Amino acid sequence: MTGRTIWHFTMSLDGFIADRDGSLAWMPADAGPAQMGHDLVPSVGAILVGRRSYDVGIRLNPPAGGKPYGGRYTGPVLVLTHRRPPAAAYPAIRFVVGELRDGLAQARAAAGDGDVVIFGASLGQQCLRAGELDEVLAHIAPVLLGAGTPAFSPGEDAVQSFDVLERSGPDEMTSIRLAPRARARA
Amino acid sequence: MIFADLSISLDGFIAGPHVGVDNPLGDGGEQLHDWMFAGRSAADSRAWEEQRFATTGALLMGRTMLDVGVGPWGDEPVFHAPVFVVTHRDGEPIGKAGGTTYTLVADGPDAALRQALAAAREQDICVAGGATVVQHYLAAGAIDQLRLHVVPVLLGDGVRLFSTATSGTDLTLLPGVHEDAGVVHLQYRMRR
Repeated sequence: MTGRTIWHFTMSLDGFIADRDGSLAWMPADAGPAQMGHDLVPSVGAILVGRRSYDVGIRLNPPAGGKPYGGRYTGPVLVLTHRRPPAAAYPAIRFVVGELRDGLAQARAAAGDGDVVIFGASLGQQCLRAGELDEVLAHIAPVLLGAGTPAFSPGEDAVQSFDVLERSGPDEMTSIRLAPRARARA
Repeated sequence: MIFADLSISLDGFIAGPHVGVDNPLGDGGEQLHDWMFAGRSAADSRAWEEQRFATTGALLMGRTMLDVGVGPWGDEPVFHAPVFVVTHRDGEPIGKAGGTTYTLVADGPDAALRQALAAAREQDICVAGGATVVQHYLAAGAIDQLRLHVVPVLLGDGVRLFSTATSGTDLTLLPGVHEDAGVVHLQYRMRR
């Protein structure tokens, strides 16, 4: 049995996953992992992250200080990129040079029976539009940023409905677990 | 207490594109209100809507919202309270049955708020929409509570509730919210 493919993110109430500097510093300091995110970690077999998220993450959170899920996750991290990977790659991180299907195939192989978690707006949107997501786990922070990296991109092909699987709160971070409904094909 | 109460898509739209008198919530926007009527008869829906405004002494809204809503809200609107409409175009008040009057206020949203405060007295004031009006009062610090009904759909286009004008606002999520029929209710107290 293979696991789920889950896009996991925290967004501001006005829909941004990073502020205009790419920073995550606006997230509530005591939010930590909201309970649903905390519960997810043991089942994660691989994390697939987009190149931009990786670059921002490394710049803002050097590996010594920043690890996925605060260090509770120690499994494979794959970075999907079209560009040549940086020379000084960190040992725990694997670069996949290719298209979305290459990244997903390698992440799913690495995950085995575990879940694949997707990090990043661009990668998450691509997976959603390609019908590759089983779930979206969204935490909503009680902050209005005004500008930044949107979780959801506009456009006609963005149209999507979800079923709400689970919802928690009221912590400071409302968490919603969603399953995308089948998209109508043109 | 002044509260804004709106249904919103997961990607932040309170209406779809091409809002008009024949299309009050824009393309695809009717999905944003389905949760209000799910599993209810017409009579029950009306009673439920009236209950939402039971402690509301006055409402504020923008001109477009009035123009597209005045028809659907009918001869006896569920508000049962004076509605102050922020508009550039003056005009006579529009009286309806059951205590609802639409008063056009042409000298700005702050003037409209003053009139609403005077009319509401001890009761609450509801800022019903649209986005421009809500953004103005949020930026001015006039809103005590933001009540959002998040519908699990992405519309891709439409009327965005939030803008760059509404950044830097700190919110506290209030307890007692719940989820029903696939809509997630969020209620925030605005920190000044």
